[in-house]
Amino acid sequence: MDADADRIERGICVSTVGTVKPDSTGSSMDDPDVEFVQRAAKGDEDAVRVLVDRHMSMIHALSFRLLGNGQDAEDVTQEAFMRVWTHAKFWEPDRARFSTWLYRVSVNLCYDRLRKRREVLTDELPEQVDRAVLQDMVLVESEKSNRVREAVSLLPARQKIAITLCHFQGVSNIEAAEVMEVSIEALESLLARGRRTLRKILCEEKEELLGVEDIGGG
Amino acid sequence: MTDMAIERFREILSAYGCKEQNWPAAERKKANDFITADENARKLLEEMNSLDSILDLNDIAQPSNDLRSAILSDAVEILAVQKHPMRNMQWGEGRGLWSFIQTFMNELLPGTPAWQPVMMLFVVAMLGVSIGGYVNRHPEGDKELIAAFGGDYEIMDGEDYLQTFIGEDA
Repeated sequence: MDADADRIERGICVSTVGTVKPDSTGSSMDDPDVEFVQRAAKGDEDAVRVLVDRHMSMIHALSFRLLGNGQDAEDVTQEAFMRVWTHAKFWEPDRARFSTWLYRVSVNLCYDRLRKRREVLTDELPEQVDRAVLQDMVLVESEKSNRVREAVSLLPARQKIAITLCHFQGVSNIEAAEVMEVSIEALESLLARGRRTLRKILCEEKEELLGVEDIGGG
Repeated sequence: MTDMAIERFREILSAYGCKEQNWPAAERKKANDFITADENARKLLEEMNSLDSILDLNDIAQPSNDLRSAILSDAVEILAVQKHPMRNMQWGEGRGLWSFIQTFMNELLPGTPAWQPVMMLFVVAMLGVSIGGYVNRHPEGDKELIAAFGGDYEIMDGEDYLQTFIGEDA
């Protein structure tokens, strides 16, 4: 088992964000999943179904966006839930929200797979963005979607995770920082750098993608 | 006049984009008030909106129906094993003696670390062996030992040993 995943499991949902103070959006006090996790730990199949229906699509979407592969995304989703069932009885609801812990486990599982693929893991911008994959395509709707996904896939891993959590998954900044174990300031830096890179990559194609001329600055 | 500076508003847009629901909850109202009050803020928002629109083109395929079934099946299996671990114990699959002992002890004394009762049993066993060895000293064995040393060997008890070699009265 990978060290990160192992650490996460042993210290179930221990918050290590440091400067981040959970507020109403990040607190476990109003976590709607607590009751269901506790019931699932006792073998309640209805509670299991509720947890799966609430979170499976989100975890699958997160994994798909990070890994860019449907089969890998399904494998990660299944593995993340296996860890939920394995650790449900040790769950400590006062530590963090269930969704935060599940996101963190999933992100770490994706990290493991990205490492195995030897993708770039630093926060530095790639020196040469391979735009060949973004060129010469007929822009039907599904291809527009693929083109955006390919642009996101060119980002360094941590920027990709930050943008996936905050933009695509709609996770609050506090929860995203907790999932990534960084401060809010560091998260904002990752997001800003990621969006800047995406703007560089996609600005040349704005006309094709949206039928307009230029993507704004910032 | 609002509490937000244009610099912070720009930072928010640079990091979180132009969708209000993605902005930090604590700053959402201030940012909206700022947009209402400041024309530059509105221009900035409009300028930076395109990237969000492009990113929204990215949709995601839904997971297969098999995935949900597989996850539910895993849950039933794993939770059943946790509920009745001994019933589901499988030998010869790399689980080993210690794993067996842990599982057994967990059923016997739930919540107690397995090493505690195991250590207790070990101490009791060692105590039993020691007492048994002391009580059942074999006189024939002593005679054989003396004979082996040509009759010069004598088994002393503790008191004799002190008087002979240390010179102390017991």
